[in-house]
Amino acid sequence: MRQHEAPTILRRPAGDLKVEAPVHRLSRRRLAVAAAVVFATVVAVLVALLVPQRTGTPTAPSWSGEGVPCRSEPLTHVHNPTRLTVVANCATVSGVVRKVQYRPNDGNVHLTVAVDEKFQRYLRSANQGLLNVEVIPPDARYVIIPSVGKHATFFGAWVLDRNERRAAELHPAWRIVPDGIPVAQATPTPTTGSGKLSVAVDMPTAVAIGEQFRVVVRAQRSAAAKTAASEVRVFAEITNAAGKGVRWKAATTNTLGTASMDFIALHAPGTFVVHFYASKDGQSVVVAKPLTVTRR
Amino acid sequence: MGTTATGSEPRQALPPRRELLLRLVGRVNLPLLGIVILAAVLRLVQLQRIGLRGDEAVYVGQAGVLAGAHELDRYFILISRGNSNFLLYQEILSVVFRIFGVGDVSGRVVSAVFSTLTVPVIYWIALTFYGRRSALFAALMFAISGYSISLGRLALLDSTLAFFGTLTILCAVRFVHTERPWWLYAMAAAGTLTIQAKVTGGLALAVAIVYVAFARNVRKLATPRHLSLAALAAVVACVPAIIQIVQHWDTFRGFLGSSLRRNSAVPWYYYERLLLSYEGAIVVALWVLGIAFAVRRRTRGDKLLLLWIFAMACFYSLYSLKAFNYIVPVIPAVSILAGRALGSASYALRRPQLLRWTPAVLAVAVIVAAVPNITKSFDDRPYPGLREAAKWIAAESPRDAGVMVLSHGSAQYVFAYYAHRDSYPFGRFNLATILPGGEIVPASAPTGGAHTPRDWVTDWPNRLIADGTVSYLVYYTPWGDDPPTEDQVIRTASQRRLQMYVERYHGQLVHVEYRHHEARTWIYRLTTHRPRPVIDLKVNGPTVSVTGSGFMVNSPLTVTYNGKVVARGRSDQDGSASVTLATPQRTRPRSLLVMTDSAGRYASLVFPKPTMSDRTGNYAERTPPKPVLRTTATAGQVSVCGDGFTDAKGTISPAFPPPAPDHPTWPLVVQDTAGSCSTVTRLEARP
Repeated sequence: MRQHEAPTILRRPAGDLKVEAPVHRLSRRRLAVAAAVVFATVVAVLVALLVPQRTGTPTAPSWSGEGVPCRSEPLTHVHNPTRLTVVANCATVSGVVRKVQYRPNDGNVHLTVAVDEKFQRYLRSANQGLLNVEVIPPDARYVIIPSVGKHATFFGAWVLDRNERRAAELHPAWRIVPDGIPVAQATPTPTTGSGKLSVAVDMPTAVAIGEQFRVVVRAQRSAAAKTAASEVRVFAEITNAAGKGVRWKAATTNTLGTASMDFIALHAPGTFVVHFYASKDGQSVVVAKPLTVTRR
Repeated sequence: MGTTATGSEPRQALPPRRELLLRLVGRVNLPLLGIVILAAVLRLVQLQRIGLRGDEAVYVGQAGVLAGAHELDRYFILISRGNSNFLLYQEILSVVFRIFGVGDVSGRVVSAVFSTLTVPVIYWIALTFYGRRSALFAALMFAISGYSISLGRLALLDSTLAFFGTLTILCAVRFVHTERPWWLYAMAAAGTLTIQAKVTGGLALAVAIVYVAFARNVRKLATPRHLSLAALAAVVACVPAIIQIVQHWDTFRGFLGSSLRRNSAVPWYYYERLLLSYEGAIVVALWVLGIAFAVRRRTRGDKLLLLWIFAMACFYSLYSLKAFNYIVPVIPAVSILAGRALGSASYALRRPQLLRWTPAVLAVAVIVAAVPNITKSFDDRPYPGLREAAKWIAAESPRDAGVMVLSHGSAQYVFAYYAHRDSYPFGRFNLATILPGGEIVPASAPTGGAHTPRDWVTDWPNRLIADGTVSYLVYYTPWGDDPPTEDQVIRTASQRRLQMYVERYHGQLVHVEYRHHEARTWIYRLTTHRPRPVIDLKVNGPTVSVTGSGFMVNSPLTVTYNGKVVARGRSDQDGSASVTLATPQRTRPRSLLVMTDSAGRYASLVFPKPTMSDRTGNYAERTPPKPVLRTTATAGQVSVCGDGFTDAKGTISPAFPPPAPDHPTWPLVVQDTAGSCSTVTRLEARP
């Protein structure tokens, strides 16, 4: 012990002259090695018991372009993209459509597909043997939705959905090619029998951060005369100055052809653009409106 | 003539008071006193600047209940939801409350005092092993520790834990070095108090016991008498905990079990990164240097401190639940070793004229190096202003108004403490919730591999809003991006969900709280109890009564039939309304009667077709039956039974494969061609 390290004096009782028998002692090195081995063993056991095992790395089907473009940022225009983990930007699967459903809460068309045998190995336990394919509203006018029971080839991004126990999904799917249709012709033909669809949007141009604001979308058909267009699917996406989506909402017009959407402007102050995608019977209209969120 | 040899001049007698003062000054360790004063100032200054956080509100509220503040009885129970900690800190604080009154600053003062008192305890331990100079450096290292300062300024349990844990180690050290059994008794009592400060304090007691057990010189004192007295001291100190366990055994056991299942989704280097951010690279380097010295020298004191650090570091690293405040008990040990390294360094210089000034220079250098991190301890940018928001709620809202707050499990208690309002959390957390009134709601077990339950995001909010229990939603941003031009205000799924609830229930922005010129907390008053309104029709001869609910409160209403306005009305405080109008002359089978409020929210029904006997102009009173729906679900089939629909018999009984996945809040809607519909939100499983 160094001289400056002067602890308080240890008090020893007098007359303590007991002579101890010589004892074989381990050297310091051996003691240190033994302690290290014990420590390493204990840590290894604890890690094996407490640290959860990693599941295998998810894989995705390969991409067979066939003239369909691959997207470098596939989650653009997808609502709440942080819930999805991209495994592959572009993937191609084929299978039979089991169910088709439009979900008004997010505006997506959901297809449940029984994939072909060769793609089964890419599904996860949470899939329960079926693949969820989602078509987002901005892609709706370019995507044929096959009917139930039809076999088709699906092109899109292969993701894992955290909200669905990390089930694999093709989300978004930007091209669906039913069997028997060439890829180049796999786009829907809009029906204009009831007239051309037109959309007008009424909303404020500026709102303070945290305030609520209302958007009213009016849809009309113009055939012989303008009539209110009901059941028009409307999807709104608010993008910031960098083009990144920050808010999404879906609605459907009522019998009067109007749809109201209420927003709370909990966004960083700045300039935004609100894109409205309206579609019905294969017709689509896109309207963009500026919005400024001001600092209080 | 001879001369008498004389000695030195006799000392002049000083006044008695000055004599006493000089004696006292001679006994007082002035450098230590200065370090203690420095520690106290850093921990006590401006404690009132920001309000209590969620966990702080819980502990202060519990202390208030113990002190007899009955207005808090409804919101705080006398048992910990987290790790089944005992109430030592709360009991000490309640004594302060009884003297000075209940207050948030008092809670923080008690914590700061314990953190300050840890300084002389550290000094004494280091003095025993390494001498005065190293001991002063050790005390200084703890006094200026940014992490200790931050935790010392919060009304949490950790400063109390650190104090009693360090005191337990001190008692063990003094027992081994003085062989006086009173230190053994004190160690037992202090160790028990450490456990009562926080259950994990048992680690400090275990370290102390190991140190004593391996000290050969005190083995002769391990007599039944001394051990019995030590056990008696432990039992006496443990009486409050025993009473608490006896009174709340079931709840205690339940919380302890659930707390062991909690885990934090943080990387393995969480604490290392945390300490680096609080202390800075220089202080952490001094800790590492001190540890290296100790490993090299391996004196008795080094072994004790290394064991202390090793035990704490291993436990908190392996314990699945991690939080920013858990690692405080390690700081005294690393401070002592860093102080020892500084003390040794101060002797490294050989030039005598520098020896005298080296310690002071080193001390100043250490303080200067720690200043940036000490300053960070006073940073209040993450504070969103919940205390001020709660006080606004207290002043402006009805006494029976309920509040739901974005929370990780505890933020709602800020409103319970400051506003005395029924407050509920909104968010995902694996922690039991104490409802107003004392009912304990355990966190629902996560399903499907999820880590945290979602019941306080998807289930409880709808129920509490629908029955009117909650009428205010509070959203706040916790981060310090000032101004928030880069980060979005909404980040997580829970935050997005709360935003959706505000929109769905037409929240009206009623108050904004600002911090550093930026809006940080928004309070919304909900104007409706239901996401969609509903109406019902009753034909009374020539008139029709339309009753609706779920509209915006106090809103003008418009009733249209076939697109034409036929009546107007107004909703009441509950969003309900009743409007009477003349029965339309000609009704069409698919024309809708629609009631709409000022926000554009509407409900519609098909007007009932009059019977044949009505051709005389007399309308039969016919109340459209509201269909009733029942569902039973098994693994392979869902059966639906309904009455009151519009068909030949008015009943239906379809069956279909169960939807995948079944979701507790997705509606199953059955509707007939006349528009009569019924909805269920949960499929009942067949027992």
